[in-house]
Amino acid sequence: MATTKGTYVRKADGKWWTGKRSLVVSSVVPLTRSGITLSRKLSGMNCYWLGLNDNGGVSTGSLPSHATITSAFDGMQAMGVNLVRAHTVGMSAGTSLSYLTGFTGTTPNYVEANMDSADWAVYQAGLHGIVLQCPLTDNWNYYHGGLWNFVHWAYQQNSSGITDVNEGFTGGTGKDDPNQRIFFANTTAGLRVRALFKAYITQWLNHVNPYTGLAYKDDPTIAIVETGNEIYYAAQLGTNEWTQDIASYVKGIAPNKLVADGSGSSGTAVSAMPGLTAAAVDIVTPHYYPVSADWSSPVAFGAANSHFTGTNTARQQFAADFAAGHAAGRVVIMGEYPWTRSDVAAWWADIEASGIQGDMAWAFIAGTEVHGGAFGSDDYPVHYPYLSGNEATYAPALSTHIKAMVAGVVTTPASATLATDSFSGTNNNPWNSSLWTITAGQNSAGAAATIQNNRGNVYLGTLGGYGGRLAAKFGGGPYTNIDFTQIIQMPNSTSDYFIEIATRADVLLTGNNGYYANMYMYGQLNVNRVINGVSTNLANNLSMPSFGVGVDCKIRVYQVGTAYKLKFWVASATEPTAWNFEVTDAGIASGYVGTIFKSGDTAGGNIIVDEVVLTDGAAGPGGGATGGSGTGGGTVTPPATGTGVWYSGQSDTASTADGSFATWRGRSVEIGGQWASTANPSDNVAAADWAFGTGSAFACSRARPGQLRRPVRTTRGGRRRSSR
Amino acid sequence: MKSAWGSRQANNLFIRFAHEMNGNWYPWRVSDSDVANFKASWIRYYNLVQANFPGAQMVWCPNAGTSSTGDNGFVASYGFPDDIYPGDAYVDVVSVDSYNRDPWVNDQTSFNSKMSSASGMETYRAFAQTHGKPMSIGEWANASVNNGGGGGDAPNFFQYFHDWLVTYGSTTRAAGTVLYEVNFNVPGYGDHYEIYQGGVPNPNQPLSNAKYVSLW
Repeated sequence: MATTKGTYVRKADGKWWTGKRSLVVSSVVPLTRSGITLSRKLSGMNCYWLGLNDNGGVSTGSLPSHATITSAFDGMQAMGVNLVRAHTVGMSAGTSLSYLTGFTGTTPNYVEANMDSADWAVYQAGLHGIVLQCPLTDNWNYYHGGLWNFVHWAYQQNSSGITDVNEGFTGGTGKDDPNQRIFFANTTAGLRVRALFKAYITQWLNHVNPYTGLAYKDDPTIAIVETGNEIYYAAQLGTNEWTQDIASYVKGIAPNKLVADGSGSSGTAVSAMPGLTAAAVDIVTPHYYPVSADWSSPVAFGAANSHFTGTNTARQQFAADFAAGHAAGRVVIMGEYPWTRSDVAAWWADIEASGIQGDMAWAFIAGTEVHGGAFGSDDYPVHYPYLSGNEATYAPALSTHIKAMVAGVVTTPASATLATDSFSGTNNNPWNSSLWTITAGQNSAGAAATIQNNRGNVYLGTLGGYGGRLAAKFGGGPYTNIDFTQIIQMPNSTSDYFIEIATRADVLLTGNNGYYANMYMYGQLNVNRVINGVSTNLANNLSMPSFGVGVDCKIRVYQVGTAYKLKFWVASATEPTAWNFEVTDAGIASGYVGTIFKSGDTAGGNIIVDEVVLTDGAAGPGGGATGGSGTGGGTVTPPATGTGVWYSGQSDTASTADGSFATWRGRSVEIGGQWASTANPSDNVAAADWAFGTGSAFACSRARPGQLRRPVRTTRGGRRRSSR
Repeated sequence: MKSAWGSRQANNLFIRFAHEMNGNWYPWRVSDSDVANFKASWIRYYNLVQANFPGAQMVWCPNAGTSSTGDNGFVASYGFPDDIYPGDAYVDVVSVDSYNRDPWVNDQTSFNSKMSSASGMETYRAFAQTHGKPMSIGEWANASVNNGGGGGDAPNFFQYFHDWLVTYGSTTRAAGTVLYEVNFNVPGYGDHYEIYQGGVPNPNQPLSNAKYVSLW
């Protein structure tokens, strides 16, 4: 039985409701700024080739096809991207395929046809819900032209006070001629150069995109205009005069644009950026490329690096940078970073937790074209679908980060592994002495910890009578943040055996100091905190399922700050989300980690131990890398509460999805949600009856159809029953 | 679906696939023996959505009911159905259908207890938070007829539920926040659920109707 449900509304003034009363529409909703925040979080990729492609390094480049561009936005959208830095959409001057190809005398030659790829890219970005950040020129002499072209043209028209910089294309070496720096000079000659640049800005902002019917200045898809790409010299001038002049000039023509200071380049600290004080600048946008001093090899984000202030690591530099940007009241968006570093998960977590409003990895590449070196070198290509090999292996984690950033959540970086042991080795050999310190109790004659069948085996001696005790300290220490997991299998015996998980304990796990989780194999858990022999019971005879004889079980103890958590589960099952026991206790701040094995009333018995993993628990319970595929085990540090605003709707049937609800609630339009339905018993949806309507049907006032938000149910027909 | 949605932003479409799969009343119910197959099929569907309609949001939405009869072998009988959660990589929004019945509540203490029970909305919200997902309430309503699990008019329930939404509601998709809720204003079902019925308040719950009008 097909049915139609759902009633969602828009406000009487025709605007889509953004409050709690109804479900919302947006095309590219204009991006706005409030202090250091934007109206939504952004994340994505650099995509430098959208207006002019270098085709993997071909010097003159070519205009990329519509299909190539559309495919790129499809791919980036699939990755969760909602922000793209589109260099050659903004910088289109200086080549035969540029918007501004050159001058005849003092008359500029603009070629509208050369904007076709850029126009299509802007159009597609809007359709994909992606906003663009467009630099207006480039410091570097690459295939697309740059600021030196304006210097050259000014020289051609009047050589007074200008040294010609006529580089031509230097083959991708990114030459940075000191003579081009007159571009920033507030001198008579410098202002002649600047006038040509401003004229280009005027032309570009007023360019009308035939695919949208909108001038660039009016298109919210081009949300951010950047004064240039890596024009780091603007941060060395000792004045914000040029940056303020250009930023205010852009806003004079396009007041709704957000303007970014383009002086961000790797090694330029935010504290030096003119945009911190230039009033017309909204955004500072640093870049990070941690590399060796000679740029020949990548360096981890967390490694000391002469590339940054002092020997800051990239992570330290970033921390200083976003603090400086926020202190100055500027939005911070990370403009470029390489994502193929071994510790990128920690980098992403830094970004997500920092409060910056956006970030863009370098770089999304056209089709399957080659871009620079191999994956993992100092080039960082992403294609979609991901190319096989390393890109396919690691790029899903990039997508996960992008989605987390957009959603405003923080993925947990991989826990720092402190020690692991899986007990491979020759039978009867002792445990690895570099990992374990084994101490046998006085009634433990014959007790030993050996390797058997590539597993750890604890034999509790020949005496029995509950006397056997073997303490096994694991890893180094002392540790403050502990996340300790291991497999335990109790012996095939009816005798009573115990284990105790010791954390923050004394170095020999004597029982005199530390936290001890005492687990009786048939169903009791006690947790004690012991200080100088004085025991405080934190968990008293809590019931727990039997470990089960001969069954691998996993036990995990997590202790960070005052939090103590413990869980156990059958090893073959998925780790449960919930902890079996949690307590807050501040008694002991740090100590050693290990397990104490205790015998029962009869002699002998072997407890099996395996897959012992100790990590730095500061990475958070739930741990696990965000890398690899999907979201992995990454968890979040979420906001504790919401904003008090949400989307609200009503299910309704076809018979009442007639406007009556909207009338009742004083709303002008109601929208029916949809069920897919079929009477086909094979469960094939033979006639899905989606009818979402169109933007025009809902009287959307925007240039493009609005987007309706509603839950959609895919069901086969059938009766529905409520909870009971 | 993608064709019908057109050029609108894909991630504004929420697909509540196989909803209330933990109950025993739908053909797509998941019994214990179906758990692995269910997860595999969800992941397959998710991947199909990603391939064909990238960005569309997949909503995992069990029913809060812990069916007490006739459910032998169905995972709903175990309270919170985390055993049929397909995995963080395959879910965009954690959701739950939850009705004010079984138990029906209309005082703060009982409401709090219901919310934090094994299958309560707060338990789902905490699960969403742990897993880095926003949450939603796929269906909710007061069961206004005292002939089974319901209990009558329940204006306080509306107030407490609204209070909870004020605390956790957010239009930003953040972990553990409530992105949307959908009132089940559907006739039938013994006149249980509707608050607005054919142009007038449902006579079974006029106070609930008034509370909804005042708060929403």
